[in-house]
Amino acid sequence: MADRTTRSTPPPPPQWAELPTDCLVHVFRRLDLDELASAAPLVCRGWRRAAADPSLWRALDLRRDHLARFMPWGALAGALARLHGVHRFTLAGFLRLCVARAAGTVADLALPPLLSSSSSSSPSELDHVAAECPALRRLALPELSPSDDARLPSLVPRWRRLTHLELDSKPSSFPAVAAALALHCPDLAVLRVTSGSVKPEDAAAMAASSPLRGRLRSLCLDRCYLPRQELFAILAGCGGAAPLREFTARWCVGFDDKDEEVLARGAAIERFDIGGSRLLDEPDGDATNGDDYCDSSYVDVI
Amino acid sequence: MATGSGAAAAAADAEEKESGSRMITLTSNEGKAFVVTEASARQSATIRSMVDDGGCVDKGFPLPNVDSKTLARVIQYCDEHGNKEAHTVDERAALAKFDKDFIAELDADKAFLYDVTMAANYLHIQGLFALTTQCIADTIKGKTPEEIRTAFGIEYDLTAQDEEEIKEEDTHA
Repeated sequence: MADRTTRSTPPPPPQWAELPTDCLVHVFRRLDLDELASAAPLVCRGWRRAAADPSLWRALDLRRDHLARFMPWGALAGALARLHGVHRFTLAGFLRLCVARAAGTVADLALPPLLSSSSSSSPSELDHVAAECPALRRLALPELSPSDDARLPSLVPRWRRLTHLELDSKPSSFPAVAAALALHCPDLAVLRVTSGSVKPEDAAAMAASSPLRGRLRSLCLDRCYLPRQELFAILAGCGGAAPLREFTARWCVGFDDKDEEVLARGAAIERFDIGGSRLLDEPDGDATNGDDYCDSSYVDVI
Repeated sequence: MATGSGAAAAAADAEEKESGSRMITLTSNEGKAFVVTEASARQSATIRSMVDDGGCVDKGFPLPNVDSKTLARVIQYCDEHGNKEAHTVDERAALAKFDKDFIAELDADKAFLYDVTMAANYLHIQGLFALTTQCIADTIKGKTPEEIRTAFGIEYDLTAQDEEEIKEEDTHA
């Protein structure tokens, strides 16, 4: 544009405050949640209006960089503390803010560890999520506090649209959770449990004859302690009326990934992957303390 | 193609459409006419649907919301993406390079970036709109509200009441 190069030192006209809300929402979609929470609404009234659009808060991945963000020295905590004189800005506070902005429309939520282990009398973050996020489709939960673990089965009925559930650690209330999922979440298709010890009652809750399995298309038990016997209980009767399309139990302890009988029982499943699983948790040369069941090699380190 | 006088005519029409040889006139709000290939004009979903609805191709399309300077720049983008192939790795790399240079120029002139963003939104040119909104988002990233206001020349208009509300909603946890 050779004809207008005279516009060299532009004191930008006041148009940016007027950018239509729908345009701004498209811009804000490209920001991280913390920028959306801590910077955009404080720019001007128009931007505040756009940043409050619930559609921007439907997918909340609070796992990404959560340590850097929510530790007291983190950038987000610092920014919010400066702006609002808030002493500490916690994950709990940020979660509440995001959930409030979404106005009941959160569809996708991933929570990091460090959920405050609140006393059983005060409502926890998990209760808050259950009360305020009825439209959840995908939910990923960290290892739960004992009180949240006990409460989980009673919260599941709030999430009737759930399709994916990911549990970083198998809760001890798992059989009750499975029963609630089967009863209240007709669209549930994917269940992932990625650490913990699978006990006979857990295996029974996931067996082909269980109500839960009628729903599941994909089941992942990677990194669990999964004895061969429990694995067989889960695999028994595979390929029935509502066949599982995908089953993975990678890097497990309790059976061997070359065990021919295990492979034979999984053969009916479209995608069957047990790579990296071992019968025993041998110390691979590293100095472990010999506590087989609590070896850090199959506990996710954050 | 409802009024086509037979399969042959329709086929010829389709062929013409495919080659993008038909020319379309776009008129800025200052009355300046720009003649572009149909392939270029079809980058705009707004114009594409008007053309497909059997519209007024001959009369051209007046664009009352777009000035000449902005339209010229938008057409530059549409020509590049509409008239050139992007099948080989080299061709795609050339387009990516074009986009990079194109947005770098706009980034240096925020007022013009605003005009092009508004035009891309109005004309529904998806690729261009993605390019400009990403550029705006990149400008916002890592800045304090004050720095953002400076970058875009925005005046602070939050009232004491707004500030109080923000403070409340951020701290009620």
